[in-house]
Amino acid sequence: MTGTPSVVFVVDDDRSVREGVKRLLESREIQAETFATAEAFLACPRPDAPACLVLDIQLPGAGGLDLQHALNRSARTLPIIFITGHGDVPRSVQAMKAGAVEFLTKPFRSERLLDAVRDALACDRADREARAAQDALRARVTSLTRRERDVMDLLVSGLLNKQVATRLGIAEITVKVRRAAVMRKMRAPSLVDLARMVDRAGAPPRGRT
Amino acid sequence: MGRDLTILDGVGDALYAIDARGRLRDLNASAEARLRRDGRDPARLIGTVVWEQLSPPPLPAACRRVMAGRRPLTRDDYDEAVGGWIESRICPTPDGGIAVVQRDITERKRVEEQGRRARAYLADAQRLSRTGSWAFTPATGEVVWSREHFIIFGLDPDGPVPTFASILERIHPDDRSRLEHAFMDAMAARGDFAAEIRVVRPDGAVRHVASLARPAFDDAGTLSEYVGTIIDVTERREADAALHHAQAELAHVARVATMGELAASLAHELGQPLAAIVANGGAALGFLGRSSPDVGKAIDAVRGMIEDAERAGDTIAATRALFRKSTAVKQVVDVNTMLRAALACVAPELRRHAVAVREELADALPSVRAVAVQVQQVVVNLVINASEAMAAVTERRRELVVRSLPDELEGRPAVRVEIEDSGIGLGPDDVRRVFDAFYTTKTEGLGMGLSISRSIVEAHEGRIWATTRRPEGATLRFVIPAADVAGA
Repeated sequence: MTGTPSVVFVVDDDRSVREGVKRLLESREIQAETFATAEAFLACPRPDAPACLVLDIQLPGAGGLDLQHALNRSARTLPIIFITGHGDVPRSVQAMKAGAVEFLTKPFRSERLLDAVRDALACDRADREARAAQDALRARVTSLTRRERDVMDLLVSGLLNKQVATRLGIAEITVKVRRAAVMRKMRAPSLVDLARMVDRAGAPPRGRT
Repeated sequence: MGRDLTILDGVGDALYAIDARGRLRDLNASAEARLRRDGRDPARLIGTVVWEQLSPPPLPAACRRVMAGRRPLTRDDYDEAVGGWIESRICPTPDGGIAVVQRDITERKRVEEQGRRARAYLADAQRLSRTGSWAFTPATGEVVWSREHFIIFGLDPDGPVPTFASILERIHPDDRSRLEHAFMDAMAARGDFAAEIRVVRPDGAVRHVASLARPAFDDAGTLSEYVGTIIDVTERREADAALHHAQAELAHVARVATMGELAASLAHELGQPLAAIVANGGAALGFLGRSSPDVGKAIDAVRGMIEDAERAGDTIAATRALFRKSTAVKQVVDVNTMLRAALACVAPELRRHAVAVREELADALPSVRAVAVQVQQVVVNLVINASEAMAAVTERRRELVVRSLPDELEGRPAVRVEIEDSGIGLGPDDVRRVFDAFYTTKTEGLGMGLSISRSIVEAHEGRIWATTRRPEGATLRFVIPAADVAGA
């Protein structure tokens, strides 16, 4: 395991199951935290680290599927491994459709659970890294002035300096100055790299002036 | 022209003698009375042409016709003047004239009409109720059938009345000897006869028919005939059979559903501790497999495993207790009464499978202490099993013997019940295993019936076992101890 320490949240109303799962994970040096209900899990602040959720589909109060929906609506998604006492096909289909990474019927094999947890954590880590990179790019984009942003948008759309100058009604030399500032702030070695970065950052809101 | 007919004044009929020229030659007192009633003077009519004086109105024409044609004629006319029916017989006489004899037949007509109407009502009633009637005279062997009887048998109502022997041919072969015996028994006892039989029509259709009859005796007290009815009860039987089939299906579905629920609940209850055991086992291996094994944590994990395994054991014990738990209270009951009630429950099922039941119930059996419905359930299970085992049997009688007899169990008085069938029998393996749960020789069976039966019998401190029967079939028996009368 590399990078920040990861954590697995185990939500199951059966104490021996959640303790057993926690112990199994800890024996493989995977940190785990247990909760008896969905509400208890939601009430607890989550550390900023790669994580996944081992979730019993049948919970008192809000069920596992309800919790999945609540998480899907929130900003931070979390890979979910469902565990269930019943081989309940309709619900497993529902869970998988809503993005569960795995669906295990109790009693499940230890290795199946461990593999699923490792996959889910790797997935979340990659997700987090991609998100972090995107956040960094967006931060660079928002560091541009409005005029630099105008120049960048036209350049990545394929216009030449002269065309940009005409379009914006400014001198070509001004375009060149602003272009140099954009390349520096965006840390883009070339125009092609810049285009790729803008693409990866998505369409961050343009700073209003 | 002498008056001769006066000697016939005493007869009720009106007599007229008319000569070849249509003149009234003679008449008797009744004829005079008729003429007088019609406003004529009989004395003055003698010797005159009389045609138009005769009544009722169609008579003059009829008389002329006989006079001319010289052939006798009889007619019935409604006489409005008296509001009754008159029969007129007109015949030619040797002197070239005619004689007219008139008789009031109002009463006869009324009786005839009543009879006709009654017959029509009866025919309608028989047709609507699918009831035929029959009579049999033992002395002559003569058989009389109503029209509907022919129709029920699928025969031509206008055809010849069958003989006793040819009637038997129309009876389903499986019911023939039963019908004969029932009839012979009734005749021997000079008593009522009742039987339900199947009739095979010439086109092969099978009808269920209930026949009832009672004997009639002559004045000397000799049995003169049997008069009876037959009712086509096919639809009723089929409805019964369908109903019972539906009920059996429902019971089966309910059983399977209960089993399914039980299995799901057990799977869930056991799935939890098993999941925990597996996880703890994996954890123990994980802690021990480290480069520096963490024995303390591995021990915790193993403790967790033991705890969870014990919990699973508790679940199983609780499930067993649930099965054993019985709200029903044992009471002192008579085995034969229970057997008869159980047989009544399954009678439609047995009829559907064409299984004949022979009861051999011992008198003077000791009572047992039992939950009657449970023991009946055992009997029902065994009987249904036996009847299903005979479903494939076509080449011999499907016979079920239900027997009760006094017995002993571990030195104590007991009652033994035996259910014998002439079915496909049991293999040596089956004999040992039939009472195991989920063991079945049937494609659609769950294999729970006999297993449940064994649980019930054992809950009554009894024993149940199966043996092969010679030459074919199987015998299932159970013994339950007699009630302790000393303590009562």
